Amino acid sequence: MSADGPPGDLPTIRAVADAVAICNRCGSCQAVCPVYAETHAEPGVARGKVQLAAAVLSGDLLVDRDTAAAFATCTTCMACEEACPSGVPVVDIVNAARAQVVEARGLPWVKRVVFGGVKRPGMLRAAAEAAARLQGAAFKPAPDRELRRLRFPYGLAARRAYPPLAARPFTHPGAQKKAGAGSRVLLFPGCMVTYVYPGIGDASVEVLERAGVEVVTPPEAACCGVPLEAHGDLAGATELARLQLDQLEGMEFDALVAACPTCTSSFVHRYPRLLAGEPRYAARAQALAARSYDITSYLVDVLHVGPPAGPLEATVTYHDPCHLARGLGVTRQPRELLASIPGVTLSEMREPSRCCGGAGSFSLTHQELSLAIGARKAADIVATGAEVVATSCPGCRMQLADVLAQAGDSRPVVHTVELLAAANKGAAR
Amino acid sequence: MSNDLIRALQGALRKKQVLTRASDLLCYAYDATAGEAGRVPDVVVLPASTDEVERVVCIARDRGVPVYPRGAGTSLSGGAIPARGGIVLSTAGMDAVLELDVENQCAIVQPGVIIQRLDDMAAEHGLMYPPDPGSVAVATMGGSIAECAGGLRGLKYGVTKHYVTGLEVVLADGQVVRLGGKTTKNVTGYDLVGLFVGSEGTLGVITEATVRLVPAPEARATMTAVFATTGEATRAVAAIVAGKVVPATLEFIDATTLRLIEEYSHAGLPADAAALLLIEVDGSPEAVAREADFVERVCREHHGRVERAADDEARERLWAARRAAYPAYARHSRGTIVEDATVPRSRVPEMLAAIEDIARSHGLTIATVGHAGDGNLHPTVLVDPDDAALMEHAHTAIAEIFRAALDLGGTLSGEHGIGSAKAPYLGWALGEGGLDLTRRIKAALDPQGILNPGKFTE
Repeated sequence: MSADGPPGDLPTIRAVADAVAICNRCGSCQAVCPVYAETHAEPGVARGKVQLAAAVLSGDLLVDRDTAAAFATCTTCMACEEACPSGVPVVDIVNAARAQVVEARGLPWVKRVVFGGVKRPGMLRAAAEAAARLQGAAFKPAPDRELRRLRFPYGLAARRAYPPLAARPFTHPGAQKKAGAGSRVLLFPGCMVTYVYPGIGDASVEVLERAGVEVVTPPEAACCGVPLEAHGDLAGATELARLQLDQLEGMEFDALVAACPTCTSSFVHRYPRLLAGEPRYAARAQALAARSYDITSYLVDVLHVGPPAGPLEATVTYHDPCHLARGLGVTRQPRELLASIPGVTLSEMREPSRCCGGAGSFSLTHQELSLAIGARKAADIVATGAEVVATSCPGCRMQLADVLAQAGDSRPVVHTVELLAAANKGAAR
Repeated sequence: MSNDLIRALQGALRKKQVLTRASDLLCYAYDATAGEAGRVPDVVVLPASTDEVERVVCIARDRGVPVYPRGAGTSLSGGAIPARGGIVLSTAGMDAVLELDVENQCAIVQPGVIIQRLDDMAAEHGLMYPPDPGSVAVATMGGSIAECAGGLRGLKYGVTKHYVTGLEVVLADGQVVRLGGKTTKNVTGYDLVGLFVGSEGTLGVITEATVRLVPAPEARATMTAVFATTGEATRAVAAIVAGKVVPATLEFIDATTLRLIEEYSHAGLPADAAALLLIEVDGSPEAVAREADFVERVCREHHGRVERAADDEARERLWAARRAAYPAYARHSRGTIVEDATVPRSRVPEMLAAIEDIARSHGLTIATVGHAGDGNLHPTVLVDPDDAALMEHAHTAIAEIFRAALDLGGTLSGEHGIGSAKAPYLGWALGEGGLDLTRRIKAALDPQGILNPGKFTE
């Protein structure tokens, strides 16, 4: 771990030098950047960050704490990539810069300890279970909804309302072998579903099995690695990519399905990229990518599921998760599923694919910004008058529930598959 | 000096409004101009009110430190680049629409309001704010007024200067002046509002503007016409204008651009196309029907293959080709130098021929789109910023384009301004007398030369 110093070789950021060079500084990204809309400051927006990457490459900017902070201030929502006339892969540049920061400066000790735990599924599980038992001591229930607030105000964290960790993590007993069963699906739950929203996992199993699919889950509920890569721990993220491929090796399934688009995009986009240079893994990562799906797109595009059994009388508004809408191009399928529920009326919010500001741990590291971005989303949701908010990402769900609570609003936020499962049971939410 | 300056600014503003970190300053060393090397400012301030702008300017005045007013930094002539250090003053955060006066059809805005947002708000009342530069979705009112931005609707609706009726400006000595107002007619003294529109931040910092809105047209019709020769396309433009029809949009796209667009988007444009016109007429339904029929007939008489949009979806498809031009350039070349030499409408064919000759003689790719109706062309030199020999050819070619435009009775810039990029050529257009007058005005308002130095007034 070196201190702030000259750029030296900088191999990681050098790898995106060509991508950096195609930005012609037109500034179109300002129109869509959720961070810039709050800060009105150039370092917040893609053009600024790409120019900072260029300055690191040219040696005009040191890889120091300030530089690290600048690259950390991004939700990686990809809206700038969509708006960019030149097609600059901004998120790749931001991630490379974050990784370069870690390479040059090392991980801060807190992250080293946390990520060390995340990389070991057993430790992650034990920690989450212990935390679930102990959380009553640290959090008090928020009055308005099933959320909790910190008992001991710690800076801005005191303002946030988090869902409690699940008393029972999501598990799936495994496939009930059905005679002549159709395809077999590996449901990848991911950390959020396993430890915070097991109901999303249960609902996923329910709708998949109802569609005649056999559902299996991975041996270990290990992290997909995105939180590590987002903090520049490329080595740790790659380690988790290998771990995932290893634990799935030998399992038989037709498709990998996840209810968390960040996990899904790991299998579809990240692993093939992270493991491209590793002969033992590259081909496997490619093959797995080709049969990995977000659950809503699998239900609609592959299984062609029909409408659910029971009615569910509700007006629903749908928030597009960034990593699903822009990362995986899935916007139509969840809407089709929601609209197929008898009794459901879809009411679109303004800018449904605008980032909610959650962005994983960004909501913790940049609380003020995250809440400000989320407040706009909350206002757009409230303006629809919809009774229920649906989204297709557990991270978005957590952020939306929080920002609505901050706005004094108590309408429920659910995952698309939870509404489907509820309708199947013929029970209202 | 620098430390004293920063302390003074920190005393006058909140901590978060004064940026001093290297990583922050680097983000204000550029605008959208290709090949204009920036210089990192000493400090960036983000004032939130006229009062705060005034305080910043007074601090700069007392120390003789440069102040560079900045909006969204989308200027294309180097106008927002801090040429020699000092304070970048961003008004992007002053973004309130203070009043939308439907009865008087005008709006009062702070400088950070995005142009598109004002137009959207006006649309809710059946009104519009016509100036629509390519950067309309991000550019600010303050920046576009300081640069007197134009846009695609210029032929029929004019440019920014035709809409600004009032301004609040912080002068170089820190004095705040309020000029003009809501009235369309106003001959009370000099046209001081006009003095600041297009002044590129060299005479004062705009902190508030009153702008005219106009009724949004009830109907519009959109069509494209593809021509096998440039001559047929430009003769069609002349015939449309001679017919006393004034389209809201009359855009010309040349063969090079069409080829690049096709490579980029595979839109299915004819391979043999030498030119495309995108034409939109707007107004009352009756007038639109009559004018669209006339335009269509003229294009067909000039052997244009016409496609007329039946609905909004088709309209979007026709516009897509024009919108794809810039992305197509950007994906073809790492560097794109967009110029905006402008000639009287009747000289457009000669100007297009001159651009082609200049490109050929320097072995350069110059792609041209333009607002053919108002003679404002955008020859864009496609370059590699790292290829020094090519860049030298590009700059020589650009000088020759300016010369050609002036020789045809035109001007250096239709809508991008002079900034630093075109400053060396200003004398060609203004002559000694014009240059001298410019400098006398600058000296009278900013004797210390602290406002946006390094630009065309020096």
